[in-house]
Formats: sequence, structure tokens, C-alpha cells
Amino acid sequence: MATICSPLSRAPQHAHSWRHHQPSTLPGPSVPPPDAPAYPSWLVKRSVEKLRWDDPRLDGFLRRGEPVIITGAPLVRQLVGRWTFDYLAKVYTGPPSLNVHFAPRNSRRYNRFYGQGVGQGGILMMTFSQFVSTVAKNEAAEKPPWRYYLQAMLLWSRHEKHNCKYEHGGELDVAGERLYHASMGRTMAEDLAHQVDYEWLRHVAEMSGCEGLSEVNLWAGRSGGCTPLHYDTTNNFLCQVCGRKRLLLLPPSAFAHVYPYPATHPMHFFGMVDVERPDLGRFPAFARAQGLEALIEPGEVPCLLSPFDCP
Amino acid sequence: MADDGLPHQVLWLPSFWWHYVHQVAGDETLSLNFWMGATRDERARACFAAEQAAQYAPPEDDAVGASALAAARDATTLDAAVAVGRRGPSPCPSPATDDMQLVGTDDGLVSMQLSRHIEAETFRMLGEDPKHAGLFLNALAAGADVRWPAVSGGRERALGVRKHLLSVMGTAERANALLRAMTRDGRLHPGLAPPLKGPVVGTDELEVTPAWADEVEQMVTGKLIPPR
Repeated sequence: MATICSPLSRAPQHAHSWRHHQPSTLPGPSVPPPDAPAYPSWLVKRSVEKLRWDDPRLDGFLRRGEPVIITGAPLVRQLVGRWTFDYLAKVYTGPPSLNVHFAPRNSRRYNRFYGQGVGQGGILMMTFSQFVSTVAKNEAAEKPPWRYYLQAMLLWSRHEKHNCKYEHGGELDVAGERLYHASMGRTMAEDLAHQVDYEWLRHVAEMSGCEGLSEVNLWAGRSGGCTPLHYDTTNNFLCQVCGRKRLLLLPPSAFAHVYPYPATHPMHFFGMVDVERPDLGRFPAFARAQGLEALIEPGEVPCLLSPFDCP
Repeated sequence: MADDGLPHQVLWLPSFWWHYVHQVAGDETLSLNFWMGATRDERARACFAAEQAAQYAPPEDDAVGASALAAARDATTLDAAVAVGRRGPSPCPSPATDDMQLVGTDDGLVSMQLSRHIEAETFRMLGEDPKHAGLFLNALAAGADVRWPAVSGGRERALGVRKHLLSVMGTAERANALLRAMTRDGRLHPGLAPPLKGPVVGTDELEVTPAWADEVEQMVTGKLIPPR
């Protein structure tokens, strides 16, 4: 099996030729099937379509603003297999300033907001290695009492600089843009500078009409749980580097079905309905909600060598 | 994935799409999100700019005022309006039809943004009292404002909101459908969210749970008591 180190080396001769061939992946260790969705099945209209990164139909999805899973995308492909909890615990250094959400095991939800009336749990600041050891200690308990979920801003653009509350640890010049990175240690910063395909990102941003990168966040978890239904005002390319996530997506028009918190509430961009256990007595219009399901995963790793090992 | 086996997946998740995110239990999950600036849709962008400019005030243009009144007459019966204004929930005679009217060629992007703006702006206009804002929008959803005295603050404010709604939604039917969707089932008043009590911390503000909070104390002392 040839090692594959650049997206171009995988490009087929003809746009659709991949359909006629067995995918070329190394057999990986067997992965247990994912747990069943926690929401009722009537919510799923269909699955999100999957397209290979070089499929010419991708352009249409990006232009229309229609969700799609892009497989084999070059964006952070070099980080798959490289970034793991163990690796980040070693190289992701810096001050204990990463947001770690914790929630009681039985609440299942990370809300981004905590307090009476918004959700059980809270937010602490840790380093990545503190996060890993906290999670390990919790999971080793006979009945783990908590769930943890880490959110860390890694990069942001100069447009965000003036209102960014993080201290920056350095600058990156990539694909004609200057980005700022958080304080994270030299190896991490080098990974972000050299292992991320910003040219590809710029290409898909142009296709979709986005104005460019505004920020990059890292999310890490090990104990399941969910982020409740919400929307963001930014377009997102969500990359799975380790483990699997299942998403349920509803179009913007679903605001008429999901009962958003009032615009003046701290959680105004969340829906009040619990999609896992919808109370149709209080939220009858949610019975008409239907969305798209997406299970995303890093997939088998085609190249276990770093690009520096390539001939 | 069994159906393609290709490595590494990136989800294109356009702005304003609602999403629920579940981490598969037992997996160590690492994700990166690349948040991109600005909206993808020129029309939504234009609408949003107009919304930011729209600060509700008494209307100056009589023709627009008249069409706003026609919009109010198109709404549901006045008896229902009075009931809504007093205690909610809003009557929603044909929700499925309403829903269709809210979806334009843009997946509902414009009507969603407009509804958020109207809520926030009405709140500001009525002394930042969520109860007043909720009652006011309930009344508009039911067309009660058509019976308010012609020269009154309430009528003028109602006309201001209706004028803005019409300018973005295009027709009275669509404008009224949006008002009904925003207020349905007592969403704004009497309200469906649990009451807020005491401090709230939010991750986007870089706030942390105070060290004296029950949860933190449990974790620090190692007592790990299950929650209330």
C-alpha cells in the first residue's frame, strides 16, 4: 500500500472514477458501533449527503448553503492519527485557560451557560493535561459522577483581534492571511502552521461565499453527552479528528418549531425543546420538526507517517 | 464509514442551521471547527443591515401605515386577540400554513433573523420589560392593535413594527404568519423557559463557575455528590 501524503496524490483521473473502485484504506482496528441516537427517529428525514472532497457537486452544496459531509478533505487530514488526547497532553502547553464544561452525568447536556434556570454544571479553566487527568479520574470511578467537555480557542483572525478576550501567543501567516494563535507551546503552533491546509479552506470559503476564517476552536470530550439544539451566526467547517459525533441538523426555518429562547435570554440561540425528550404538550409545533442526521468520524488513517517522512 | 471508507470527514454546517451535537459514548472525541466570517446570502445580508437600521418609532408615511392596518385586519379574530393579550397562548389557526409562508427561497434564513430582531427591538422599545414585550407581540399576532385608539402610543408602536415586518416579509399574510410563529403557545408570554435565579456563567464570556459554587466544591473536595 502506497503512503499518501498529499491530497493531490489521491485525486482520481476522472471525477467519478472513485465510485467504481474499492476505497483504498488500511484496515483499522475494529471500532464498536456507535450508541443509538438519543432522539426519536421521527425527527430524521434523511442523512446528510456525503461527497468526496474533489467531487464537482460539492460546489453546489457550498453555494446553496446546504449541509454536506466532505470525505477525505485535506483540511486537517494530517492531524488525524497525530492529535490524540495523549499527544495533546504532552504538547499543548500554556496557562490553565481552557474552558472545561462539567455537567452531572445524568443531565447529559453541555449548555455553554450554567446556573439556576439554564442548566446544571459549570465551567472551569484547565490546561489540556489537567483536563485529561480529570477525565481519566472521573471515568475510573465506579459510577462516574460527571461529564467533561473542553472548548479552546486556538486561532483567530485580525478581524476578531480587537474583541478577542484571549491573550495571543503568536502570529501565523497562512494563505495570505495573518492569524493569531493562543498561548499553546511551540509544537502545537507548528502543527497549526504546517499541518492544516489553509489553501483548501480558502478555496471552499470562496465557493461558499464566506469572507474568510474568523476563528478555530478545539472541542474535546470522552464521556458522551450532548450540546443541545442551537444555531451559530458563522458558517462552519467542522472537522472530526478523533472519535465520532452525531449531529441532528434543522434548517433556519425550524425556528418556528424549536421554540428559541426569547432574544433577550442568555441562551437566545438555543431552542427550549429538549430534542432527546421533546415535551409535545408544551411545544406542540415541534411535532412538525424534521432534520438531517450526520455521523462524522475521522475514518481510517491512510498515512501514519508524518509528511516529513515522505520521499 | 461502511459506504465509502474514505478517511477524514468535514461537515459543512452553514450559519443559522440548528444543530444538536451528540458525542458517541466511550469515544475520545477531538473536533476542530473552522468558523468563517460573514453570512453566505446576499439577501439575508441586506435584510440584516435593514434590521440593524430599524429602530421602532411612529411611522411617517400614511400609505405604509394604511397597509400596516390592513395587515392587522388580516390577523385572527379580535376576541382571540383580547384573550392572547391577557393570558396567551396565541391562537394559531393553521400552523402548517404559517410554516410554509415563513420559508422563502432561503430556508427561512430571513424570517428567522427578522424574528430575532423584532423580539430584541420590541423589548428595547417597551422599557426592557420582557413581560410588556411579550404581551405586545401576542396582541399583534392576534391583530388586537387594530382596535387600539388611532392616536396612541400603542398604535404608533404597532404600526412601526408592522411597517418593518411588511418591508422584509413582502405580504401581510407572511408578516402575520411570522408574528404567530414567534408568539405561539405562550413562547414569549407567559413564557416557556424556566425562571433565572442567581448568577449565570457563560463560556463565550470566559466566565468560570465561582469556586464557592456547590458543584466546584464537590469536585475539589472529591466528594462527587450526584446533583440535586
